[in-house]
Amino acid sequence: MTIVLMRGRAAKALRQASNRAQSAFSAWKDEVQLAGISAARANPIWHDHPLKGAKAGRRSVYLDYSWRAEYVIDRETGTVTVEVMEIQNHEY
Amino acid sequence: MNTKKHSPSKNLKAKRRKNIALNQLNDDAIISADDALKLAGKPPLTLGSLVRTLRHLSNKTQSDVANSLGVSVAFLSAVERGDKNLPPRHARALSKVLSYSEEVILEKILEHVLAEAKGHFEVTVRKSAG
Repeated sequence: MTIVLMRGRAAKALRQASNRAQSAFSAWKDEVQLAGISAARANPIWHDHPLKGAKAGRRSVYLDYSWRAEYVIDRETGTVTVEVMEIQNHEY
Repeated sequence: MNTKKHSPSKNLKAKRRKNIALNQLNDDAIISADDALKLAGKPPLTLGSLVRTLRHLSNKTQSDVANSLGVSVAFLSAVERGDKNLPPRHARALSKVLSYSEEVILEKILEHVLAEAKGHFEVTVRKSAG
C-alpha cells in the first residue's frame, strides 16, 4: 500500500481549496493508496505530468479548473511514498 | 434582559480546534493525507460523492454514465445523493466509464452496504493474483 503524506503548507492550502478540489484530491489519494502510484499516473483524468525548471523532480496532478497538487516520490525506503508538496491556485 | 452568553455549537468548537491545529502546523512538517483531509473538514468520500467527483473530472453528464451502466438517470442521481447503492456488478463498467480504479469503487460500494447495515467495519479490497 502506498502512503500519501503532505507538507504542512499543502495541508493549509487544502483547507482553502474549493470543495470540488478537496473531493478530487481525496479521490486521487484513495486511488494512489489502493491501486498504487503507477495506476494513478496512468489515469488520464489526473493529467499527471512531470514539472520542469525550478520545480523539476516534482509531478503535478489536476484537481479542478484552478487547483493542482504537486508531489514527489520517495523511493529510498523501498516503498513508493508519495508526498504532496503544494496545492495552489494554478497561474495560467 | 437576557444576559445568558451564547455558547458556540459543538461543530463550531470542533472547527475552531481543527483551525488551531492547522495554524500551529509547521509549513515543512509532514502529516498523512488522511489527517490533512480531516483537518480541512473533508469527510472521506462516499460512493455517491466519488461518482459525482469523477464524473465532473471526466466531463461526463449523468446521462452519459447512466447509459454506459444501463441504469436510469434518476437511479444514478439517487446514487450520487447517497440515497441508493450500486450493485457490485456495476463496479467494472463504472471504473471503465469514469477511468478510475475498480478496487476503490468496489470498496465504496461495500462500505455503503455495511453503513446501511449499521455495522462498524472497515473494508479493504485487493485484486487477487489469479
